[in-house]
Amino acid sequence: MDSSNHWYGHAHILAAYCGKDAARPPRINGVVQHGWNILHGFGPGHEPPAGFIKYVWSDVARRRGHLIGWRDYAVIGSPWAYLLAQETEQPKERSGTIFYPFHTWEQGSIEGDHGELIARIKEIEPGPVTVCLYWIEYDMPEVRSAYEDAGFRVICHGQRGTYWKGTDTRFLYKQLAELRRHKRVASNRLTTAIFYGASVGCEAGVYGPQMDFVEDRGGFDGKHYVQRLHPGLHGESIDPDLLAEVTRSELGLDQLLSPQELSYELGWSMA
Amino acid sequence: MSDHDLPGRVRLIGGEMPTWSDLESAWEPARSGAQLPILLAALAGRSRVLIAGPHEPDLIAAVAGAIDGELTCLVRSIPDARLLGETFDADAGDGRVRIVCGSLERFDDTGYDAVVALDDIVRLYSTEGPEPVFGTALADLRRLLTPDGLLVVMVNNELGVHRLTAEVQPEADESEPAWTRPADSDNSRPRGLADLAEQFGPGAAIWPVYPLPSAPVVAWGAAVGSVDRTEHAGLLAALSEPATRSLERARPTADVASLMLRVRWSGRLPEFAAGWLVVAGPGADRSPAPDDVVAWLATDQGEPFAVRLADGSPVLPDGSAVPAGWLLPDVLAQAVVAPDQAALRSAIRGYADWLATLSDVAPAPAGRVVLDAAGEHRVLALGGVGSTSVAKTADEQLLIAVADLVRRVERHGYRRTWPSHLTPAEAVAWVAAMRGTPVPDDVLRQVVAETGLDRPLDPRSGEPIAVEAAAERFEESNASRARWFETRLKAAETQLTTAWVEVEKARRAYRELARVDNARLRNRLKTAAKEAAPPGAKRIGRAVRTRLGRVKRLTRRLRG
Repeated sequence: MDSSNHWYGHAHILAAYCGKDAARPPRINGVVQHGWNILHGFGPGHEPPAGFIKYVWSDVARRRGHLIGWRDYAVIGSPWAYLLAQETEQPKERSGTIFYPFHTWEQGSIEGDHGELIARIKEIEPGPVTVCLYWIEYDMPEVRSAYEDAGFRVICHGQRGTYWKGTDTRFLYKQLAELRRHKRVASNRLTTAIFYGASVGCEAGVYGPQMDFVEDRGGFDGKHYVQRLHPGLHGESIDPDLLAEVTRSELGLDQLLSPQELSYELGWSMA
Repeated sequence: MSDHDLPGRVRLIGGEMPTWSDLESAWEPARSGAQLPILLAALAGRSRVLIAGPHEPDLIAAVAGAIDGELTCLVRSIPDARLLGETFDADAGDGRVRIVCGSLERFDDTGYDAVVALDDIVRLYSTEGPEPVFGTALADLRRLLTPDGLLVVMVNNELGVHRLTAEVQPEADESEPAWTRPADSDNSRPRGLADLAEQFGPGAAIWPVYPLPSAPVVAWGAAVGSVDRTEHAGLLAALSEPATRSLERARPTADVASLMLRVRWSGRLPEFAAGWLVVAGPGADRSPAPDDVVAWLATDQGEPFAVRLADGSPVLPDGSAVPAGWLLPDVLAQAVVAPDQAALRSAIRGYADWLATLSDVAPAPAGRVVLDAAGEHRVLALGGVGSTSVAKTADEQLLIAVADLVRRVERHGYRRTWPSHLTPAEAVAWVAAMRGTPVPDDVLRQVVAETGLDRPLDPRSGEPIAVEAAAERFEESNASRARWFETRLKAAETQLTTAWVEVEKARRAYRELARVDNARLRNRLKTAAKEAAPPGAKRIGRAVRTRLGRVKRLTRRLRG
């Protein structure tokens, strides 16, 4: 019912987990949280319609939503967690670092110094580095070439899609494969990718110049807020036990529903 | 490091709530009341004090004025931190007050010689912190204290009169602050005096407060246990009355007065208190609960005052002895519900006769009159905390007492001594006539109008508020879903119109081709036309029709 349910192939992963047609996921009776955030589970300005269920990854999103009068939450864990439950094969060996520069999005832009970030990555990372760009930056020759010229392997997991079109339904599968072949995951902001990496055993780092959104984000820039919220998750090398604990909570790794219950929650029991 | 434009005295420690305000929420913060003199006495001479949780600025200012050193306020809400910061910036820039904003488990500043939490512990942790657990919170507060530090905590009693009379119980509370599990499900929470003694130590002073933990009107002292509850039923009733009246305003459908009467009769004021103010710690003996205090009472007119014991007997604030006996409104109510018309007549006539002997009737409203076993009336001189109406004549004073009685009987549906077909105004006249002499009509009309008994009482549905609220949410949810489907229906109809235009174009193209007189060429052209045609126009049309049908069926079902 909401096109964001298809972003990154989330609906497809949930359909596969529930034994439904993963190529044509049934309509979900609400809106699924599409990324880790510090709000009510949804992006700024994204208000799921009342009367439908808000499917979130963790209870903290429900609490934040409750405060602003939102109800009808279901804490189901992240689609990533359901992907991990389906893709259990472990890598034989890991090497290097995969770095996710903080990225722009379809309706906004960021400003920051990629050159400074590249210098920091070279200074910190000992092994081979893969830089994963969001598709928008990947299609910007000046950004992409900056990382390629630095000697990094540059990849893109694909597009998340818009209004049910252009979605790379293998997006997260590709991300999972890449994370499992790297020893470390890093970024210049604490983002979803760090938690994804931690969930599959990557060491992690969050460092480097933080980039900023150009446009106004409702008067609230979460950059400093996140640093205060998770001070231990910022640094060149993050305490793996602390990261594992936060990751388990934020991705809802302990919240997984059975296929039968998830089908019921998503409105698929009769589909 | 701050991403908020905050006053300089505010420090953010993480886990703050950026937009939420406890001070503005449906759950009121701690306010000054009967607990204030106890708190200020306990803090006197302390030099480093922490107030944790939401407290009204006036209460914080009172504490700041009472201590010698620095006061730190810990709140979880950024808007509240901003408000407090700006308040103290404006208040002559009191540099001794600083504000810390975040979740308690992140606060690592220790060495306080007093920690105050008058809002219980539930709002010490933010949405980003752990679920509030009493035992953990107590440990978190204690770790901030010096070894001889003092801990002052208001502990909510989940079996208190405020809960027993609440229309919305914690299990049904859907308000915004209620995002955690109900406090009662926390097994480490003290549920009675024995639990309090166990958690705070046997030396802790415990003050049961009424009617709300956030706004205590009366705080009962240890000496209340030494007051004979039959001999001094009138005193205990009078001390309870402001709290009862306050709770009745918040719980208009509850018979608070009767419940409070039973609590007093049973001698269980501590057990059914709305909360317990606990003063604990090795330093508690520096400012102990004076053993002679029966109760601290907050007033609308001035500072709280205490009723104490002297030589084993209660004395009033002016030093006079407390007259023994029952409070007159209780005597009248007992006669009505008996139902004992003779007893009611006797009480009305006795009060009227006594009023007639007074030169000034203003200090003798029924709520301040004690009636002893011999039928003697005496004024209980507790100051201006009683009835809100001030009478000038004996007729007026009697009619106010009767009007209060009738309102109580009508509001709670008591059985009664007067005919049930009487309106409240007629019932006032009926009861007042029991004094044996006519009551002037103009005074009767005036009192009836002033007490609101000339209007019908508010209608009450039989549906609990929480059930009504749940039904409203159900209806809103369905309406919202219907609106969403209507929007999708309109979009689908637009798509269908476009699809039919495309189908018609395709049909025309086929008709043109059908006229070609060469079968082979015709087939080749048809194939080419199919490839050039809009993608699957007929398929789009069928799909849109199918979805349209589903949407219509769903919309009908939701509306139905």
